[in-house]
Amino acid sequence: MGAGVRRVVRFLVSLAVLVVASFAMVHLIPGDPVRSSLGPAAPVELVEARRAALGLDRPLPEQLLTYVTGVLSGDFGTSFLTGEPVGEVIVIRLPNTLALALLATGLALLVAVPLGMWAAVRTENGRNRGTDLTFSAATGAAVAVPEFLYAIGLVAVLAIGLGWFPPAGMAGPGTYVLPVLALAVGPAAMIARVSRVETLRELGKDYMRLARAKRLPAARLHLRHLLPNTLTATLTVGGLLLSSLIAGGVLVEYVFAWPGLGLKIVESITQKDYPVAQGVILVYGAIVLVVNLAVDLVLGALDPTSAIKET
Amino acid sequence: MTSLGAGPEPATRRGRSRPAGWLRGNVPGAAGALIVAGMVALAVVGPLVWGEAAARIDAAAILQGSSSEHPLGTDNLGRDLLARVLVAARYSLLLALAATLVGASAGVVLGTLPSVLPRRAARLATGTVNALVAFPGLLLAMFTAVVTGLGARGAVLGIGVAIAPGFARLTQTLAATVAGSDYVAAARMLGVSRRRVLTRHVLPNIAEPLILNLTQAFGGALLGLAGMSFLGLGVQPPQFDWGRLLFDGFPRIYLTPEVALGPAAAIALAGIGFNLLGDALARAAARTPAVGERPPPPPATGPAGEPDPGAVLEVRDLTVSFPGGLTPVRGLSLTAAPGEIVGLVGESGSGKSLTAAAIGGLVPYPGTVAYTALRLGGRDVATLPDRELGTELAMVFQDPLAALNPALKVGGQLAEVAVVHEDAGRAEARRRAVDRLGRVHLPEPGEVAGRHPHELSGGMRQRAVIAMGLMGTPRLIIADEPTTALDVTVQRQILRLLREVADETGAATLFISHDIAVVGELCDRVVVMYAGRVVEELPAGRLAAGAAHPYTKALIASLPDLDTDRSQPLAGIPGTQPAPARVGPGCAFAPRCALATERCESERPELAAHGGDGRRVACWEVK
Amino acid sequence: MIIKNLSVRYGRRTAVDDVTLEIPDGQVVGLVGESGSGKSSLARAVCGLVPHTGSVQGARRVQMVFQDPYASLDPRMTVAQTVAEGAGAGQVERLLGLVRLPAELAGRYPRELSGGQRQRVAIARALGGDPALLVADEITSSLDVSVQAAVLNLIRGLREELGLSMLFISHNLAVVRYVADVVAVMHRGRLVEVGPAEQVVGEPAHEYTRALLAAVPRLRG
Repeated sequence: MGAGVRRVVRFLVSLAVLVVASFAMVHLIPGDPVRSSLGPAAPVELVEARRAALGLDRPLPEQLLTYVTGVLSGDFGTSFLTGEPVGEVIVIRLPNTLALALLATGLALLVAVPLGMWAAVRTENGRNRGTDLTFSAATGAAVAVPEFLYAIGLVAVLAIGLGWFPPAGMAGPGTYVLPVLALAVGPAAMIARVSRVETLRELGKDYMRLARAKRLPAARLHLRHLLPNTLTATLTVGGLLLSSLIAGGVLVEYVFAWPGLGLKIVESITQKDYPVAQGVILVYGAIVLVVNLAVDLVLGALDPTSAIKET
Repeated sequence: MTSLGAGPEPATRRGRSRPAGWLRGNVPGAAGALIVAGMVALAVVGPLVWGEAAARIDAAAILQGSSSEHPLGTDNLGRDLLARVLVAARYSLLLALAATLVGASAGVVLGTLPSVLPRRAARLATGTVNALVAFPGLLLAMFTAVVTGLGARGAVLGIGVAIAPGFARLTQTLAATVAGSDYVAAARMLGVSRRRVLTRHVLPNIAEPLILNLTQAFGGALLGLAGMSFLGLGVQPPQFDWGRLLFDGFPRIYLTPEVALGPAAAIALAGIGFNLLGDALARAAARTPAVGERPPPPPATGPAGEPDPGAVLEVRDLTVSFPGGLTPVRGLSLTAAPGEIVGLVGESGSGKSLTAAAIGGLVPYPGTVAYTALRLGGRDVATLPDRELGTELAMVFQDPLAALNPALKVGGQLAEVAVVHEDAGRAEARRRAVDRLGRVHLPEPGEVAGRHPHELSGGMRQRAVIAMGLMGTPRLIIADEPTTALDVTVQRQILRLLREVADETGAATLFISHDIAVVGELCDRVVVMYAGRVVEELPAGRLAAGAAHPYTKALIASLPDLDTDRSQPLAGIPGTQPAPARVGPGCAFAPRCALATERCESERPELAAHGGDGRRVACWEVK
Repeated sequence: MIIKNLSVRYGRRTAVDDVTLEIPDGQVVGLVGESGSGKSSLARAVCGLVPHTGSVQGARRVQMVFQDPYASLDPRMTVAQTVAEGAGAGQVERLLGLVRLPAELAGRYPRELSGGQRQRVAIARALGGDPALLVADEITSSLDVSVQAAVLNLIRGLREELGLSMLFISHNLAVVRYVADVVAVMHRGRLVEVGPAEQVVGEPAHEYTRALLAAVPRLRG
């Protein structure tokens, strides 16, 4: 069995586990989720009716079967609060979330990969210790500040203070700037660090010594010899960050009142709208799995030696 | 086999840095430690000092902005926000601590399972961890929050769950490394029980990195909890942590931004503090050697003198030094004539590989190279343009797989020499690359050119590297242990090829090796190095019978060959070669030498002519 | 002791292919081969460290010394603790004496020792298990020649002193010839030639042995 096929099988298994986990989530809630959602004051008839409508009075295996067939046909249930089909909510809001995450990942990679390489070349073998420490401290600090603080800071300074960008909402290209920036800073710092470490590792290898012995010009040395070898690891991290950005967007969406899935999940959890929470978490999880699968397959195709590494 | 070349002596090479020195010169690390210490102090005294002020309700001062009385304003009950931020440190840190402990213990247990459970169950545990690690922590935390409901307990559990997979993965990787080590295999063969292996070998060796990781995990937990509280999913009133204060202050940001400033700054500062400290600890544990700032004073350079007309390579008084008084190569001189193969032989730490690097211009920072003459074809190497050096100087390294770029096709790596230095067109460069691959006897060179290095065997790769050196018009080939990583049968073929190349191109070859038998077989002339200096130079044919220096003799005697008398013990040399920093004023070999006298200890013998045919030796006891 | 029809497979690859080899009591059997010949897999199989088919008969108490002296000692255990692992604390001094290490080294950690000293500690640890067979896998290949000589002398001395049976594995034919009574040549997972050391080196029967012998570098003159 090829490595790619094995990877796809693993993806399918994980997906199945995820579906069951999201099903189990609601059942793990202590007590009665419907009662807890509607509150102690709700009349018993309403609770019972709601339970029946959700199928919660049926045997567990039957519920699971209904849930799985529903998910497969795109039916994620309906919201307790608004009565909207959860599937529809997801279809409307998912693109807004993905747009933020993709733009932020792209921006982070674009800035951070060259920055990391530059830092590595400058600090190779411990030279320019000042640059080394500055780079480490700056990226270390940037990584350590959570995205919602960047978001709040950007709103306070660029939106409220200077009035350059709208402070919230999604309406036109200008509204994308601050959320994308807030999301991208931390990952950019992270990627820059990885890019530097990878570059340093490659710089120490014999093929770089040989390339130097050939007296190749710096541009060729770095772009043709170094970059392809550092890119795999960097892209892996980039891929992982993309999936964490999709989830990390929750806080940024909250700050900017961005009409994405993140805002929805916060609302649904605070308001105990379980079908929505269940559906959105399932979709988030599935996106993570798809992104990771894609990263693995792309890397497998890019790396000429992967056939050997995979055993 | 490894070529060790120059470097610190083996016994200390993997030594650990002293724990006391881990913050020295690391300003960010020190800043992190300071912030963390401040945070902990605040958590201890905060509620005692400002507890009352934080709880004092003042109906006359609700929802105020910044004032002299309330620098950060007041909340909806008129309570002072600065006091509340200071008081919240304790609760914020305690929750983070709880989440870290939950996550770390769950992770360590989950990570140890594979090494305790039977095969199938172990694979399941590993698979679970691998799947969970891929999920963003916040997602796992929210999943948990749905199940446990809103509140501090749910948030702590959620963040704990979010931290656990990372810890499990780390534990698993570390434990697997230790469990697969030779010393655990040895212990198992000695009948040491599984439990004892775990407590004596595995746990002590994985504890340190795990504990180090706690600092960073703690920072992560703190930020995660702040995020949960900020979303309203964490701490609920009347309790408050920094995240909750931010949650309350955020809607007021349009009118009085300063009310959000306090909690935001506290969260950011704590995050940065723990992260910088964690970084510094990890750095110290990774034992990155600190490099001295001050470059060493350049050794005196004398007059270069007239070039030797018969030499392609002429090295005079070559010295390589590193900060801290390390001088792995001292005053080395050698020459090589066209078509001549000169062997540079020595054991690990003799400085032979650094000599090669110095001649090739590849000494790594912070090393400095000094010489009175370093000439290629009669001209100072420093004045030669890259164009000429790139085509006239060829290098071959020990591991041909490492020496070829794994991402590029073999043909392209050869062709670029012609493209860059000789302005050749792509087609012409490629044609020449294929021709050179053929000249090193690679079968079907056209096809080899289109392959990646990993698709070739070890011997083929080394041929390709040699072919790369033939792309220009090589005058000097520096081969640093080129056959050490190869099997003997392949070694034989590569040696033959090097001789053939030397004969055909007329290039001089500097052949560096630890193996005196290989050197004796291939080379015309042999230069023996010990502790950074040349101790003897002689024609290779005289090695077996005519070596004069006690070290050369001992080196030959300690090498068993196919005729060695099996009833006699091998000669060997007592002791070890001194590290570059520990060479005294006398002969460096004296402490290990049977012939050593007092004079040998105090006064260094110069390399002097000895007998005819260019033999030179540095020893007081050789007349 | 006899290794019978032993095979080691990693997935689809056969590393050791039906090897039968006798190790006579009190003798050193040298196993020589190039990289990928399966010699290390055979060693690990004899020690029970890798799954295999076939049998190893009469192999009670097998101990092993490994190639890399930097990886084969627990960095957090002193020399005394390491050596005592199989033998108990009372034996440390005797064992260190056997491998010609001064007793002062007992309190040191591996990082304070040279490569040759580490390899001696590893040998002492193995001897502490009172082995009926000692397997030595490339134990001198990461050492300098001058240090290698002392370790080879030690191996020969131990055979004399303790009557130890040994499987001595190396890629270096000259080294194997020097320490071994019997030489076995391995090529692509199979044994191609076995015989008394002088005979294998002097009158090689198999073509591959001859190729190996012809490739051994030697000094002219």
